[in-house]
Amino acid sequence: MQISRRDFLKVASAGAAGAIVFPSILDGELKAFAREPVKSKPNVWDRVFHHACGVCDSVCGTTVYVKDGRIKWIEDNPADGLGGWGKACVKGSSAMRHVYDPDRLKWPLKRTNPRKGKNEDPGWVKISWEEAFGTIARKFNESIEQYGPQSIVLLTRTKEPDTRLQKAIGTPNITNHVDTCFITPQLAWLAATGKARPWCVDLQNARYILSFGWDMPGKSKLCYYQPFFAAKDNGAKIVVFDPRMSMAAAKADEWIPIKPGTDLAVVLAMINVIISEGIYDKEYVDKYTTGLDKLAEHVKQYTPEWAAQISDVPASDIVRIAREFATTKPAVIPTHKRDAGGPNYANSFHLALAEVALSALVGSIEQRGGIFWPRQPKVRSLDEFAPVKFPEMKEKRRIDGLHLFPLITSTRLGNFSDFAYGLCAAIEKGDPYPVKVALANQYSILSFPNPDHVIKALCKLDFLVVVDILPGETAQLADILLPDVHFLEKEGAEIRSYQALWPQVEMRDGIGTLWEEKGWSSIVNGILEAMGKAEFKVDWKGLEEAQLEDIGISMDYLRSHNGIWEDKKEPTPNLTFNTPSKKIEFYSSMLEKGGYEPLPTWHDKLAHPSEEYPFYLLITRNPWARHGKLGNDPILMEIQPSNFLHIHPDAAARLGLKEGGCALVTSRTGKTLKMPVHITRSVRPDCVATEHGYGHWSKELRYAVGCGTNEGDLIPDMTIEEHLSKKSYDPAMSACCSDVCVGVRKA
Amino acid sequence: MVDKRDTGYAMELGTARAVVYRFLARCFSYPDKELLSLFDRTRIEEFLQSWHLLGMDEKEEVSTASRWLKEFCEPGTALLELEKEYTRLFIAAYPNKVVAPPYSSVYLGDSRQVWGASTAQVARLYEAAGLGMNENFHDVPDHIAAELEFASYLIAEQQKHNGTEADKTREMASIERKFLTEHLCKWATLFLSRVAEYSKVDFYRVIARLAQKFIDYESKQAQTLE
Repeated sequence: MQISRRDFLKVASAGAAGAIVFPSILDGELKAFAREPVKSKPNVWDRVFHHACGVCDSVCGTTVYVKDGRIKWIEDNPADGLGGWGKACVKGSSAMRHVYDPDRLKWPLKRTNPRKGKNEDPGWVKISWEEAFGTIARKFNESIEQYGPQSIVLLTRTKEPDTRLQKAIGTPNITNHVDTCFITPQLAWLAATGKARPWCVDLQNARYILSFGWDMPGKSKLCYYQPFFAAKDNGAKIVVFDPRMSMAAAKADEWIPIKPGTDLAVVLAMINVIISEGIYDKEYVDKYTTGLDKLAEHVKQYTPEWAAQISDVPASDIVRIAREFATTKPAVIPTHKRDAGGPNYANSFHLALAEVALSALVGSIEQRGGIFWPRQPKVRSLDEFAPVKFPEMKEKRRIDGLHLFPLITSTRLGNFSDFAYGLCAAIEKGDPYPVKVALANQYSILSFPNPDHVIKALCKLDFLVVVDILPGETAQLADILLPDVHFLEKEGAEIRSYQALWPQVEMRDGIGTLWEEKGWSSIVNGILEAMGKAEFKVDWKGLEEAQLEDIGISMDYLRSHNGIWEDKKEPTPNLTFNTPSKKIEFYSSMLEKGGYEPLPTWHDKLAHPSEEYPFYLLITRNPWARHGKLGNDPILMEIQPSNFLHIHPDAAARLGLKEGGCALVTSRTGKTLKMPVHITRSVRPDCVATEHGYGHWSKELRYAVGCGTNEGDLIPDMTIEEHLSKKSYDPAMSACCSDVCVGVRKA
Repeated sequence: MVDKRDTGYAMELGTARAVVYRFLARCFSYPDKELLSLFDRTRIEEFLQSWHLLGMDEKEEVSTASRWLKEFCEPGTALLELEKEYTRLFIAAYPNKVVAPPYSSVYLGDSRQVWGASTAQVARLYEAAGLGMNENFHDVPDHIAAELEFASYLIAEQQKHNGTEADKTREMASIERKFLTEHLCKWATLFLSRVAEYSKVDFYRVIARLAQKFIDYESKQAQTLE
């Protein structure tokens, strides 16, 4: 078609009354631009700022370099002497790649495909926050009206915005990751000292470090890694009990490859040796503890010879190490989550309890070179800042049976491993009552035992909201998917908790959101507002400002002081305890009152090698992994694109396995995983080990999907009945993540 | 103000280019009612006239896009289909990955990530042209829709100021040349060929093809200018 110039001009000037004759298509305002350049922050293109890392709870101070508007480099902040100690780890210095991941969640999304499952395309469409909040509020309110507030389940954390939302809704069902993480030592410390778990270990001043599976050096958690190596430089003796040669074991003076799940026997025998030989710290024990007589009488049965038979550790070593531990001061037992005293074996609670007793016997609690509770600045609490009266929670029973474990309920910690059973029962049979909707915040299904069971449960919900950074597995099952803010985008302040040997506040001075992400506390406020519960909203920013004001600082102060405020001083021992006796109780009155064994007592683990499943399963994490969260980082994934089955050469020869070949691994969950084999003397011949953080199946994670396997598939979850059957000795209802045996054959 | 009717051929050509850029910018924005109204009679005519003035003839493809929209009797249904496909292509895709991330750095950088050197490059050109990102534009500066709109703006500004502010016109022209040759033409074809190849919806496939042709034209034009 030919067009004359005149025709075109006619079109071009159509509708234009004035002198400017442009086609109407050019009339509209610009969408992407403002006529005046908007500069949200000074030096937005090239700047350097201090920022508290948010990858793990070490919360190391970092220095972030922005060039051309993009974070190019993250390194240490030398001013932080409690977290990174002037170093940054591989996870922290890689963190910017998630910010700029093109697959990241950017706007609220809505599912258009009603079918849910691992292989269902959710059919996302972008929606506005207004629509997202509106839909969530409508679904929540309908569920409350029809089935009561207990029909809403929150898979979040027990942090403040989460519990605000929970209490405003009035549901007892809030759950999180603590039963696979730290609930066991938390409860043991509470039972023995009246105070929940201390997070600080003064490793650098210790002369003797005794680890029962503790391996923070291997997890590159710098707040523990740095003082561990400082202690080594200072000449501390390090002894590590671990069925696998961990990083801590590799750096130790002695690695003792103990049989998995038998650390309790060794600790009990050590307590016996130390008390019977009278080499405990008499002054400390007299002043700050009670119940030594009862403990002494009780542990007489636990001889080193008895423990040797159970644990494969020679009796002479148990005696020698007990003597060294009691007489080399200061001596300390660092513990942290996934070690033997974490929630990994059915007897882990008693191990944690025994570790508290052993620490107290050598005067290692609240003493230089020992264990401390965090020293935090005194600031106003949320309830002081924004007092509010919540509606009465009518339904106290939880779908996961937690209400049957009163000791955990009193610590306000949730539970997960029963959740799938509870949720399925509630959805399918309305037992104990119907559950219809749920909200999950940064909650990876892969981090829990038998994830397929959880997936089945989540798929059956009427409505699921997921909040996350990347479209992971849980997100695949969402009806509404909300984008969370990445910590590098955030602005704010963090009060240190881990390794807070003195009070410290670190700044976040991030780059601002790239798309329409909202922080979790804003999301909670948005949901409350839309639900007609605006009275429960909190001015979180205001709270933070008020807390900084209580300390006498501000964001500007932090900006001009290398991003860190601290009240640096060596901790003065605080030896007051919140037990009825106000002392550390070897014989716990809290446990006695609750109907539990009040003294650390031997119990066996659950799973033992059988003909079908002859190997103990050990789980570890790579230093560049954080739960399953960092799998979509192309560079971190390149370090090791798959997890391995680590197996001893003798066992490998017996099974005909070759280095680089593949093995099939099975357990009583009925799942079979195909894993590449790595033959190594770093595991006992009766154990196999593998790394967590692999096996992603979300098809929206371009780098992580299909890499390796998730060992959680081999870990059985437990029914409420199974938990109740070990209740008498495990009041922490732990998930027993490592209490499993597997079968291995050549693929 | 100058009366456009008295000016020469180059200006009309400029207007035509501005129209095509603006049309495509809207097509690569999140689909809404405004996108549907682009295909009403007046506007589609404006686009077609401009298109032909540039010496291109792809009426068939435009009518495919229009027809596709009309086939859905309910505008709401068409919109939902477009929303799903737009989200899949450019925001969050199942399976495997966002099909065609609409950001220059994904194609020009070596990391395939959002926000690279090219993002800063283009954002600095926006600043040089006196523009900042709109507060309501919650996206990264090198989003394809922003870049196409920017090109349209630069050309339209030159038309506006031609004859009155020679310096300003020259400045805009220089930014335009830099922007097209050193930035947009370098990555838009890579991006558009992904859309043309992988879109499951005719609408985006033909729009991508049109855009490819136009960018080819622009590349050639820009080269002759140098």
